[in-house]
Amino acid sequence: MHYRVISSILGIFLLILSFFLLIFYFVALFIYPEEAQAYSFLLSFIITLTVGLVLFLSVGKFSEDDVTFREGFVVVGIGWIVITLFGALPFYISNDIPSFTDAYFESMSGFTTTGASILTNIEALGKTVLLWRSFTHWLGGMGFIVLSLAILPALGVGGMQLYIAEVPGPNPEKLVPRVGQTARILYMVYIVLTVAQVAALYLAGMNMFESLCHTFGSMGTGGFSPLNNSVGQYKANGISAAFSFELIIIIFMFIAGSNFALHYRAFKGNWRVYFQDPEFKFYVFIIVFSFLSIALDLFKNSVYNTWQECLRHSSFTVVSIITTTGYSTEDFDVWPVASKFFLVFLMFIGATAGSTGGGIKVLRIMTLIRQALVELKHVIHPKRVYVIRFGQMYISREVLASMNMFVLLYIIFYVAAVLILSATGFDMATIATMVVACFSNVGPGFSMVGPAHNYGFLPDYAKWILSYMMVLGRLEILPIIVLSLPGTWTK
Amino acid sequence: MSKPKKSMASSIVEKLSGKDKNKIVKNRVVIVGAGQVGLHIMERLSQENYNVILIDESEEILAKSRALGDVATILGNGCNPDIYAEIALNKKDVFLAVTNSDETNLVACNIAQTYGCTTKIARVRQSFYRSEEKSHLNPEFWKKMGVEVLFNQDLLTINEIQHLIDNPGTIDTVFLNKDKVQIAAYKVKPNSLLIGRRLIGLRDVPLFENLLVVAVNTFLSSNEKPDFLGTIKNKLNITRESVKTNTIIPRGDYKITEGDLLYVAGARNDFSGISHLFGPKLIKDFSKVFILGGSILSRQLATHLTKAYPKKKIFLLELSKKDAFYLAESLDPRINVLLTGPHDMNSLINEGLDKYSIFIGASKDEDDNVLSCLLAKEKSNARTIAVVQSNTYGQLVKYLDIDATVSPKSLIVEDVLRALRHNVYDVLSAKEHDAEILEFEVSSKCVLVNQRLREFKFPENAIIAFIFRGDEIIIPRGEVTVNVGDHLVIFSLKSSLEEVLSIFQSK
Repeated sequence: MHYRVISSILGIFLLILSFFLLIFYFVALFIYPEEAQAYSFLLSFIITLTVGLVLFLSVGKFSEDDVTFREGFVVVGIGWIVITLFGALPFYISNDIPSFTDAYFESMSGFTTTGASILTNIEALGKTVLLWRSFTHWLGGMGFIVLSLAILPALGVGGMQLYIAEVPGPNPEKLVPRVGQTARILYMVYIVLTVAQVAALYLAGMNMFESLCHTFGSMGTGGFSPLNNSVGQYKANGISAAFSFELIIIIFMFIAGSNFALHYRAFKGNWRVYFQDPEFKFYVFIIVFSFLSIALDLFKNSVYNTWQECLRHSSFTVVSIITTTGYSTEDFDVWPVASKFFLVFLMFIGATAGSTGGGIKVLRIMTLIRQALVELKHVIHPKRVYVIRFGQMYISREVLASMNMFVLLYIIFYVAAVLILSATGFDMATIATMVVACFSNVGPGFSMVGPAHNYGFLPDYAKWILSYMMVLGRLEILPIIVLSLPGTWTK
Repeated sequence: MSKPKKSMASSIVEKLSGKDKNKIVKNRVVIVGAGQVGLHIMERLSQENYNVILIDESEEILAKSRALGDVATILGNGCNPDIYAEIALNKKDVFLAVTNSDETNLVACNIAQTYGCTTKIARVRQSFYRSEEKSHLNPEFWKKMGVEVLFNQDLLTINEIQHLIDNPGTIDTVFLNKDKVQIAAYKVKPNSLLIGRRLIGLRDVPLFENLLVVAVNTFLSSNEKPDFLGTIKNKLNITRESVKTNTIIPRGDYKITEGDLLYVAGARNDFSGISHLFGPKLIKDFSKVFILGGSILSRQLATHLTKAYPKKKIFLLELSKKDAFYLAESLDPRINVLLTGPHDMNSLINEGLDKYSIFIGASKDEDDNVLSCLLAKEKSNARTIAVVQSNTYGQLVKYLDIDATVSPKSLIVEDVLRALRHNVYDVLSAKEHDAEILEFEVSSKCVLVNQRLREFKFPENAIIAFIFRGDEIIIPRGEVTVNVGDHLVIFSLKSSLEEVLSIFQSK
C-alpha cells in the first residue's frame, strides 16, 4: 500500500472541493447575502484548503506506477468518506444542522445522490446552504473523482483504476482512448444536460434558485428539494405551471438514469444507439410496464378521481424511484399495497449502468434473468453452448461472475443492515424500505420514512449505518469493503 | 462449383497468349508456398510444360516437390525480394502466392509488383479479405496492393457446399454460359432405378429428354461393390490400383451399374427432379444443418448458411470448451453451438438429427469428417457432405455411404488453373485427374463446319456437351449441324485432349 499516493490524491480532491466552497462563499456574499452563511463557507473553505495542502505537500513526488488497482479502490473509498466529511462543514458551521451526525448524514445523502434528509423544515435553512446541499448531488452524481480526472490529467495512468472504482455499472467503458478525455466528455454531456434543464425549468416559470436546486437533484438523481413537500408543493400551492415542471423533471430524471455513454454518442449524431442498446430498451420497458400497472392499480382503487391524474402521479413516481432520484409529487405511502410493492422492487432494480443513478442496475437484473433462462434451457439441451448476450452486446464469463457476486453482496449487505437496524424497534416496512432507500440511493422509503417524513427521528447509530449503506451503494460495494479488509493495508 | 470467373480468366489469358490468341505461350510460373495447394498446381502446370519455379521455406517439401514434377525450387521466404532479383522476375511471369498465410501471400504479391510482374494471384482465407462484402476492398484497392486475382478457398468451398445442399444427389456441378446450363455429376446409388439400363434407353425416360450423359466414371476392377469392411481393408492393405476408377465417354449401349458417376449435361431447369432416379429417398427439404468443427471454414460456412437459409436451424459442433465458447460468443446468435465431438451422435439425435437434416463434416480433420458423416448416415439417414483434403478420400467416397465430398484444395487448384488457361472452362481433372471441360468458338477454318455431327468422326474420348448458338442452347444429337460462330463445350478425357485441341486450334 502506497500511503504517499493516497495522501497526495486525497489532497488534490480536497483542493478541488475547497475551490467549490470558495465559489459558494461568494454566492453567500453577493447573490443570497447572508453574513452567517458566508462566514461558514469561508471557514469551511479555509479548513478544507489547509488540510488539502498539508496532505498534498507533505509527501514527496510519487510515480504514476504506484497507483495500482488496490490503491485505486482505496483512494476512491477513503476519498468519498473524506469529501463527505468536508462537504458537511457548511451545514455544521452555519449551525443549520447543529448535530454533527446529522450534518454528516445530510452530506453523505447529498454526495451519494440519495436525497434522504434529516430536516423537517427545509425552507427554514439559508438559501446558500440549500443550494450547496443540492450541489453535492450534482458533484456526486457524475462522481467527484471523475471530475478530478477531468480537471487533472496528471492523475494519468492510475486514473483508470479510479474511474473503474467510481463509475457505476459492471463494466465501465472508455469513450475515447484516454481516461482524462473520457471524464471530460462525460462532464461536458452532464453540463450540457444540466444547463438545458435549468433553462427549461426557468422558462417554464420556476425561479432560478429552485430551478438550480431541482436540476442538481434530478441530473444527479439525488432528490433534495428546497421545498418542504418536494416537487409536489407546486401543485399543492395551485401553481399553474406545476404540470410542466413535473414533465421537465420526469424527462431529465429519465435522461440522468440512462447511460451517459449513449447520450454522448447521440450528441455525436448517432441517435439510433438508444434503440440498439439492450439495457436502455429494457429500462424503458420496465418504466412503461410499471407506470401503467401502478396507474391501473391507482385507478382501480380510486386513489385519484381521473385516469389522467393516475397516469401523472404514477409516471412521475415510477421514474423518480427507478432512477433512484426520490422526488415526490404525492405521498405514495398512502397508495394501495400493490403499487407500493412495485415501487419497492423498482428501488432494488435502480437505473442503468453508466448513469448517475444507483441500485443493482438494470443490466445486472436482465443478465440474471437471462442466466436463469439459460440454465433452464440447458436442462433440455445439455450439449448446447449458451452465452449471455443481448443483441451485439456480449457479456463475458468473467464479467458475469463479478455481476453475480455483486448481486450476492448486495443481498448480504441488505440483510445485514436490516438485521442490525431492526434493533431500533420500528415497524418492518420502515426498516426494510429505509435500508433499500439508502442502499439504492433513492431517499424516501415507506411508512415512517415515507415521502411525507424524514430520517431525523432515527437514533444516531442508525444514521451512521445508513450513511455507510449510502456510500456502499453509490460506489457499488467493493471500494468501501476493501477498506475493511486487513489485506489491503499490508505492504 | 463456383461460377467461372470469365473476366479474370480472360485478362490473364491475354497476357499469357500474347498476339496469337489460340496458342498458349508457356510462360514462367512462380509459385510461392509448396503446401498441398502449391504442390497440386505445380504438378498440373509442370505436366503441361509450364516452367515452374517453386519457392518454399522447407527443403524437405521442396525435395518432395522435385520428385512430383519437373520444377526448379528455391529455398527461402516468399517475401524476400532477393529471391526475385535472383530469378529476374519480370512482367511476363505469372506469380502465384499460395502459402497458408494470407499476409505472406499479399506481401509477396506486393513485392512481385515492384519487379513489374503483372499477373499476380494470391490465395486468401480470412473472410474480411472478401472483396464483395466491403465496398472499400474493391478491385482498385487490390490493384494498389499488387494483387490481380484473389482466391478464397473457403469461399469456394462454401459455394460448393451450398450448391450441394440445393442439389441433392449431385457430387459435382459445373455451370456454363452464364449459369444457364450445367454439367452435374450424379452417383448411382444402390437400388437406383437406373441400374442395368443402357444409356440409349434413357432417352425414353421423360425426365431425361433434354439431358445428355457426357461421361461415366466407373470402377475398373471387378463389378462387385466392396462392403464397408472391404473398403477399409482396401485402404489399409491393398494398393491404390484396386480402388481405381476410370472415366469413359460412354456409347449408347453402355449399361449403368451401381456406384457409377454419371456426368449429365443440360439446361439448368431440366435437372429438377432427376436426382431421385439415382438413389431413392434423397430428401431435398431440410430443417436443420449440423456442421462439424470450429475451423475457419466451418465458422464461415455456418455464418453463410444462416444468411442463406434464415429459416433453418444451424448447429455447429465443437469439442473444445474454449473454442466452443469463443464460437458462441463471436458468431451470429442464431447459430447453435454444441459442445460435442464427431462421434457423439446420440447428442445430435437429441438435438433433432434426422433424415430431414444435413450433416456437414467441415472440421480440420478429414478423418473425423468422413467418419462422422458415416455415423450420421448410419444413425439417422441424414444427408451428409464431407470436406476432405486429399484426393484419396475423393476416390474412396464412391464406396462409402456419403452423399458428397468437397475438397477445398482441389477447388482452388481448379480455380487457379481456370484462370491460367485459355478456353478451358473448368477442370474436373483436379477431382478425378482425367477429364476437362473446354469451350471453343467454331472458326470458318474448322473442319466441323457445316457437318452433321454423326458424319464427323469425333475423337473417341471426347464428346460435345452443348452447342451455344446465340442465346440458343442445342443438345448435340447426331442430326445437328455445326455453324461458324457456334460455341461448343467439349467434355474431353486427357487421352483425347491433344486431338480435340488440334480440331479447333489448327490454322
